Amino acid sequence: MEQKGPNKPLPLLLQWPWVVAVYLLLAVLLRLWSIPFILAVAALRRKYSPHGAAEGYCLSRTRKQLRQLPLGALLVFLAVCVGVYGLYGDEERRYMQLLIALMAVGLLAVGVYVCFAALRDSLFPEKSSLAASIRSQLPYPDEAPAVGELFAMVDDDLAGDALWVGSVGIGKEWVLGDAASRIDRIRGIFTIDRIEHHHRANGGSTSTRILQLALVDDRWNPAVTDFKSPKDLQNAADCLAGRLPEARQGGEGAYHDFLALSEEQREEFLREFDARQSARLANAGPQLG
Amino acid sequence: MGRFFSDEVEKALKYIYYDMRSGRGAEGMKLLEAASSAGDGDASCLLGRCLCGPQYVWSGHHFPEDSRRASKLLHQAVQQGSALGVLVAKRSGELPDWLIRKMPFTSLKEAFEIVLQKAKEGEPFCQYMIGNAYFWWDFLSIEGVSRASFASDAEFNAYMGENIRQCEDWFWKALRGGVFFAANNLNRFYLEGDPPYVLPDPDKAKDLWKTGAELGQPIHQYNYADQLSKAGQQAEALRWYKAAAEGGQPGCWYYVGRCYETGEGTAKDLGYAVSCYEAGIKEGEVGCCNRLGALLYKGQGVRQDYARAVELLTVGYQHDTTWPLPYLGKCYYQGWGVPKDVAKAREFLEKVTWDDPEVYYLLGRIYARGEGVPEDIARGVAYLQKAGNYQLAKEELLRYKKTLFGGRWVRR
Repeated sequence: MEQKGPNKPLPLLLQWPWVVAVYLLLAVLLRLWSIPFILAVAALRRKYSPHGAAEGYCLSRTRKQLRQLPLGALLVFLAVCVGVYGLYGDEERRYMQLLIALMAVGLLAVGVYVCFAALRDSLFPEKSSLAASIRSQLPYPDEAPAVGELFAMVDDDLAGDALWVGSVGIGKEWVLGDAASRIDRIRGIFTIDRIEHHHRANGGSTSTRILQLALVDDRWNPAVTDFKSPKDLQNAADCLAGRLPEARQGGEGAYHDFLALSEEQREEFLREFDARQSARLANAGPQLG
Repeated sequence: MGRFFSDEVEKALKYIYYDMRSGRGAEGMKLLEAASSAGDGDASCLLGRCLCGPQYVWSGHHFPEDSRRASKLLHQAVQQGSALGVLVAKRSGELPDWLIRKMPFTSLKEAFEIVLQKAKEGEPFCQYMIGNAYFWWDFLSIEGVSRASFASDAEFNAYMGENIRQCEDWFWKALRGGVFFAANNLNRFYLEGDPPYVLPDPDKAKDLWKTGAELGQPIHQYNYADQLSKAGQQAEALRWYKAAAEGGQPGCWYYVGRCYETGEGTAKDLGYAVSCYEAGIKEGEVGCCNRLGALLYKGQGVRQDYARAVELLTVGYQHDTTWPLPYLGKCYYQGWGVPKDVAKAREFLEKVTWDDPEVYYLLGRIYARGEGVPEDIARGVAYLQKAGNYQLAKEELLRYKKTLFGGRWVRR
């Protein structure tokens, strides 16, 4: 949870796309020793432009997708390795080869998609999933304005006096997480907090805690954002629940149940939501800023 | 010439006392002015009384108060030979010895007898003044008697009791004739009595306001409505508040509007409540300014209009009411209807003495963010915490945290 930072100009070398060049240069020159320097540059960027305020919250978020590129490249590399291993493996065990080939193709597909999405989001913001999520919140998505205007809608709202909880910005009208949601269209607010166990080949296992805020809009589109801190997750959920007390709330089970509602059940829920909200607002005075 | 007084005075009495609902009080006063200037002592007497304030004349006439001129007029009335003027001046403490010497009557008793005669013949204001002469012990000086005139306390007490009790009958006659003040004295007479001469008899006071209300006296309709409201009979109370308001009783549109606004004793009707408050504002009712200001602020029953809301609420504030404070604070803070002025907003908000989560939220925000004041996050947080479950305060609190060591409140 952070306050919007001071509106200082961002030094040229910290601006997109120069900052990418700076990172690459540091990585090439210093190899592993570049890590503390890259972290220092990132900290400077956070100081000068918290949440990407200087270049625009939305644009900054789409460009951050470039960070997925190394992961995509790694997956492609692994796919190639697996493929090569399969090609020169035991020819008598054909079924094993087939399985390895399938794995390689799967890994390759995922890797290519991750690379594609990272490049698409960072280099072509108008095609990004964030832009798509904003468009989907508009009354007529097909007639949505250009991406600059689209992002400005969210940025202006957040620049006003947004509350930042983790990486999620909550403005008066919009919530910006991994996707954007219009607050007045949110109908479900769910927190996902589960631990996933992964078994290793050597018999051991690792655990990952999944913390997510899932917002479901009135068209039943989910927008899921990852959190690092359970407290931040709860604070974000509580804050939105306070704004929309009529919205369905709960954990992961409730989230899946909500998504699984039939058409009739959804309509009934929406009717009830509207009635309860109207009753609440009828007695409420003007909303203070 | 009228039956008891000049035509002008009789008309004025009608407009000012006996038919107050006609709304012709001002016309009555003009008649008195003219007649008084022409040398009519009774007119001077009544005119003087009109200027003595709401204790002596119905507040619904909105007559100006001018005690110096009133005193002068009462003296003039006595000198102009008004018997009524003598009794009124005596009752008002405006009959010094020099004036008694100057009056064209041989004694107080002569003046009293003239008024008594008119009272007997049915003139309500005279009946009221005769009642007063008994109720307030003026009969002692009129008759020229005192305790020393009697052989024993018992004789004196009997004399006093017998005379004081005479006020009851005269006040009832005056009340039925249209002098509403008579009921006020009767009420006191029944509730307090005049020990040791007359003992209280509170049971008789029970239906006094009802009687006055049924006689069409706006002030008694208001008193009776109040009585009913305290007894929980809201629907009936509203009926009488409305009658009193329509009769011009100051302060009543406020109650009628409030009943319709809150749905007390009737179905909620915000639109009608607004029209009641508008009617009250025309009569200068501060309560109506406050309530309508709040409705304009919320946009309930009327189109939201912050500028007019601030204007009306400011009137309420200038009359030392505290109701408008939170609204004014919010408007000045937000810049709704007035230029944004956080310092002024804080001034209003800090005067609020009751628990109001929105007020605590704004004060918390002002101090924690240092808006127009030096930043004081701890003080701001204390206000925000007082706001309890108020959503915006909860959100604002998320912007601050306590340091691990030292426990100081800082911005996150």
